[in-house]
Amino acid sequence: MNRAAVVMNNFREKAMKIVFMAAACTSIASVALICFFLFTNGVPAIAEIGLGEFICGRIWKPESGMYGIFPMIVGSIYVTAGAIIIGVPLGILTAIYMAEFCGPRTYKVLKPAIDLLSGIPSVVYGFFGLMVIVPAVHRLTGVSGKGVLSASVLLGIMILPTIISVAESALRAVPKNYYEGSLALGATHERSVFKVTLPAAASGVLAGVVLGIGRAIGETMAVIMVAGNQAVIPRSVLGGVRTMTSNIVLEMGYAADLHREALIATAVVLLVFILIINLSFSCLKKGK
Amino acid sequence: MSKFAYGEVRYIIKGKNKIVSSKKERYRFGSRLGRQKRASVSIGALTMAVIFLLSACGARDSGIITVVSRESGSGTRTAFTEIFGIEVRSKSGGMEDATFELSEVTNSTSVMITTVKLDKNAIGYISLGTTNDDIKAVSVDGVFPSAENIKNGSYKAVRSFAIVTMKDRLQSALERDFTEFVMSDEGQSIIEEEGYVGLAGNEESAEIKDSQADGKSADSLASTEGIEGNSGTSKPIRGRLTISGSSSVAPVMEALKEVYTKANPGAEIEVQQSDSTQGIMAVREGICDIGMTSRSLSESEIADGLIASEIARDGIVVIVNKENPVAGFTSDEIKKIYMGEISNWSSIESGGSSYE
Repeated sequence: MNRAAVVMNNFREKAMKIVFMAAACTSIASVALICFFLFTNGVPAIAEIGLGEFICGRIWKPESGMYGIFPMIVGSIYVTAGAIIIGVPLGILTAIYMAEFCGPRTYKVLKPAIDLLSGIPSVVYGFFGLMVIVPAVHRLTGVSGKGVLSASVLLGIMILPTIISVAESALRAVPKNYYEGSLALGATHERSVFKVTLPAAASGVLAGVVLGIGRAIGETMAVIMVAGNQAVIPRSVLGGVRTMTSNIVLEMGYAADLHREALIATAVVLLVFILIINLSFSCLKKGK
Repeated sequence: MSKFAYGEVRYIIKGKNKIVSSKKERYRFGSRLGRQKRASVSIGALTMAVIFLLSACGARDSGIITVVSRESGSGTRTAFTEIFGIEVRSKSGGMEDATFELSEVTNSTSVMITTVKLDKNAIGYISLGTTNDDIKAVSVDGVFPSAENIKNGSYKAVRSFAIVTMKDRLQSALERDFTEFVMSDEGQSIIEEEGYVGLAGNEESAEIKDSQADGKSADSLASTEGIEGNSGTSKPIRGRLTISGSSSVAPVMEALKEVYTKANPGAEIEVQQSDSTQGIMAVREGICDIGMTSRSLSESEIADGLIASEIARDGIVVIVNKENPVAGFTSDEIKKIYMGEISNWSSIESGGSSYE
């Protein structure tokens, strides 16, 4: 009887192991399937168009068979860079404030607010951008307002929660005695935070920044509404811009044949970008 | 006993910390002033830089036209570029969309309306049925876009709304009956109520570009009627019907569906909206039964066995911001604006206001 119970337990153990394993495999399988789908559909298209022509071509005119995604690559990079310039300093400073300066009462308000910010759907951000940021830029400059600047400001806001939460936990993970040691040597609170705690948390903070970049480069719905979507290299910060993601969304619905494959190939390029970002993220983590 | 001692130790450490922090407060005052000064200087420099940047990029009201267009799969865009001749001859011989590459692209009517509503210098185009008070519709060649002007043939920018089906596919009883309903007087009056123009009393439609689709529609209508004549009409209609396609046609279809399903409770009709091309592709791939399109079929689509039947007419309305004094354009001006040849309102106003 006792033995039977042991056997039963062993069986259950094994069965549950398989269940957990299967659950873990689902996510791996989906990643593998997505990669498989993208590469089998995208790579032949790149081969047909020609890698150089595809990546460096400056004209995107599917109706006349010209598939150059260089403007979109540049667009994605510009918009993401803009988002970093706006979002990173704000995000890091907010994280420092939350981890080291603000009182528990302020924290109680601030923390849920930032969590809420990350929960807002991107379409809502897009409409906010369209109704508030674009007209503001328009009023300031006289040009249409849809373009790199508006998209950067909007994305800068959108990546804040990612940066703040990762950077804050990195700052909190720094051993307290670093900070206390600095105080003991006579440094002020601010000096200790900026010269001791922040450098000690640097790799974690950078990881947050990298995650933010990943979010910015992959964002679609919000960007479509505020970027203007012209398939040309923007002439200034105020010029219209089309990112790789918006290019796919705008045209995927009706694209056929090579045009469709070219869009999938755009997704391949985007995937490569994301892979690079994620690799650097894990390198940063290892460095920590 | 030991617990008590532990508490005591903690207390002492806490006390020490307090002393450190109160010292810190005292020292902070002096250094904070210096930091603040530095901060304000750098903020000032930043503001200067931003202002300089902005002034370098353009004056407050440049008068540069913000040209807004739809994505190239949109039926509204295709019809618009065809009607106003915003096309160039491509290498292969066909005509090709030549919308100015610096024009903004949006994939929805609502974003188009919002953009024009908030930007004094914007110009866009939408369907007559979706115009509202947020924006100003302007006349084209001196004719104001309205249902009457479309009916009497004086408004030029007209396209047809059509439903698309596969030629050889067997139609279900529901599909036949619904198509019949759309074409009937009752269906057409619903279409008119929605602000579009029905097919009845529309003799001056010869100018419409859509001659190809028109011819086909007459054919298919006749054949539908023939089939309908044979089958009994007393049987209750049951089944499912999926309709998908142009977001311009969808509101009309929704209204038609509502009335139809009230009369035939057994029928289940689903209206999905995307754009004309997606609807046509869905029919071709068998994903939906009826496609909605606001443009005519392309040659390759006709070759694939698709048929379009016209169900209504719609005007394409050129819209501007409410503050814009322009009351109308000539079609040549519209063509030039959308091809990027006219880029500033100052070169429009004289021509436009003459229609006031």
